[in-house]
Amino acid sequence: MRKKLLVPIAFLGLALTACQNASADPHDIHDVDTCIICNMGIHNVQAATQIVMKDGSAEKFDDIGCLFQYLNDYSENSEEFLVSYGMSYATQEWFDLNEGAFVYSEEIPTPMGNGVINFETLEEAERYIESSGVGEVLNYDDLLTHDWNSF
Amino acid sequence: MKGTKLIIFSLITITVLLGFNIKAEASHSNTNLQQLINNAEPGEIIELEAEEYDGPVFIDKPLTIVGDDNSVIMGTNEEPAVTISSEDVAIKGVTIRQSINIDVNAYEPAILLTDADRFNLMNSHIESLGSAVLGTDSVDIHIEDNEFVGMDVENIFKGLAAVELYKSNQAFISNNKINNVTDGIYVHSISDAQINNNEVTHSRYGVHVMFSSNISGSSNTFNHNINGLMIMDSSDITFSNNDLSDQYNWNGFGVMMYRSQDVTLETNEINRNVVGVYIEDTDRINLQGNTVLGNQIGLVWEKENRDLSLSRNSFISNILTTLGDSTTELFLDNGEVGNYWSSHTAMDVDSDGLSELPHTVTNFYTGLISHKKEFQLFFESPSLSLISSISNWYPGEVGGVIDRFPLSQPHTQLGKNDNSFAVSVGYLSIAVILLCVPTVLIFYFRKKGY
Repeated sequence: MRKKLLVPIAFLGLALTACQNASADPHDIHDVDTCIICNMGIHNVQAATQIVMKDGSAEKFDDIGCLFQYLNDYSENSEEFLVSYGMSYATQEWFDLNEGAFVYSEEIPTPMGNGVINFETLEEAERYIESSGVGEVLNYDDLLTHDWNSF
Repeated sequence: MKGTKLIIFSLITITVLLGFNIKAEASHSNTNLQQLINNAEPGEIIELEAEEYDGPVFIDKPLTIVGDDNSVIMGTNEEPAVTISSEDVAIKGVTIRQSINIDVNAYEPAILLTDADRFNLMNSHIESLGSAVLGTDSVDIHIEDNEFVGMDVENIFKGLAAVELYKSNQAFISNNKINNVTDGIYVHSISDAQINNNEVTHSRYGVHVMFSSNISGSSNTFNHNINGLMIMDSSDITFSNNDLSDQYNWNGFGVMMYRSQDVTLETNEINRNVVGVYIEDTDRINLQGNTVLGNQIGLVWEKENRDLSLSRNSFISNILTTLGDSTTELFLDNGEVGNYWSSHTAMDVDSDGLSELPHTVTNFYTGLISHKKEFQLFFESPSLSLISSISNWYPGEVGGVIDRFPLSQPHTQLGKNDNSFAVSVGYLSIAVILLCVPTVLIFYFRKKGY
């Protein structure tokens, strides 16, 4: 009797596995990761960003400017993009880029020199500006029209 | 009695040997270096004793600080050991050590320059976690004959460059030895810099050029880094006679050029890297007379590279000679002369040094892994070798990636220190000895009547 039950249970397990959605969680950054756009190694983790695809894979970037170049260069594949994540400059935790706050200044060094750093909350961004004395706050929509080659 | 003497002798020997290993500690100075600086007249020379001086110090007037061999300025990486905001400041023969109370989350530079025209750093030794020299808005900077050492192997990627310059003009960086830092020399928004005779090893990039123009470099050695030379978003760059070898990190490049214009690489040795030369989205790149030898991939191109010019380069014994989209139109020559490709079967009928057969990039395997990198696993497998051979014998769709005038012989000697003659003589000598020994033995034993 038990043996007879094993077969349907196994099939059910397989079916449930097949139905499972790919994870939308952000991927960790490892030493071997390089930016898909500029080929630089992603060593300055607090500036890293990534796009998690519908199949659960991720494209990783060393700088938020490279992520926006990727969105522009591969816009025809946009239906594959699931979530864009940024690493918070303050907490070094991943957050959804659409909900983040950003600080831009020519004085802020970033891996590709775009001068934009990522924060999970507006409070974190404002705290950075207050402590460093440089920068202006941008939101995600501002980044869509930002001049990434401004200097 | 004999045993006692032996024990005494051993104790004396050990004592003497240990004595040699004990370094004389520099005494700590009671003199306040900041006080010396404050009391000095502009233009004065401050001569330091062979002592340790506490940082941080601030220099806001023209001064020269000259150290004894053991003059050390101690700092932490939580604030710059020396901050300079004046013209005509020179530091010579000083050690700056950021080794007390290391906070791995702080990367303040050892020397911070702001509006420090005509700054001069010579014959100094700097140990730092962050940048050794971080300069902005300065003109005519000389950094020569120094040694820079990153302090913490585990944290080199958190630190910054040994020499890191922003928005400055006329930088002369020469004869420096740099080890274990993030970037050896990083220039960002710089115009007019000369980078000569430097040695950068075990770091991330040897030289990293970003948003800069009029940069030249020669006779540098960039070995055992992740990348030898990284040129991004820059123009009017010339690097010649450099050794860009042994970047054997899994993502190692001898030279990488990205979104840059008017870059000339001449007579460099680009050997034994994972990728020899990488170009992406460039204009008017000129590769001339370089040796690209023994790399996993000799030349890689991505996206469009406009007005690319390659001539008299020698691509020798790279596992893959080229990798890139072979269906686009790309000339791997300069319109008159091409390059030597060891993977190309040359046919020089008229003995003009140029092969009558053009070198066409049609490699099946190359095209395959351009699209499906996982097929690297089948490199040189019997099936792929067979398909590659067939595609070479009967090329189907031939792309426009071609060297129209390939050289029949390598243009350059293999390696700067070509000791092939000495090696040949050595092997010949060994062969003669190996022949002579049995001959002599045979004659000897025959004479003895065996």
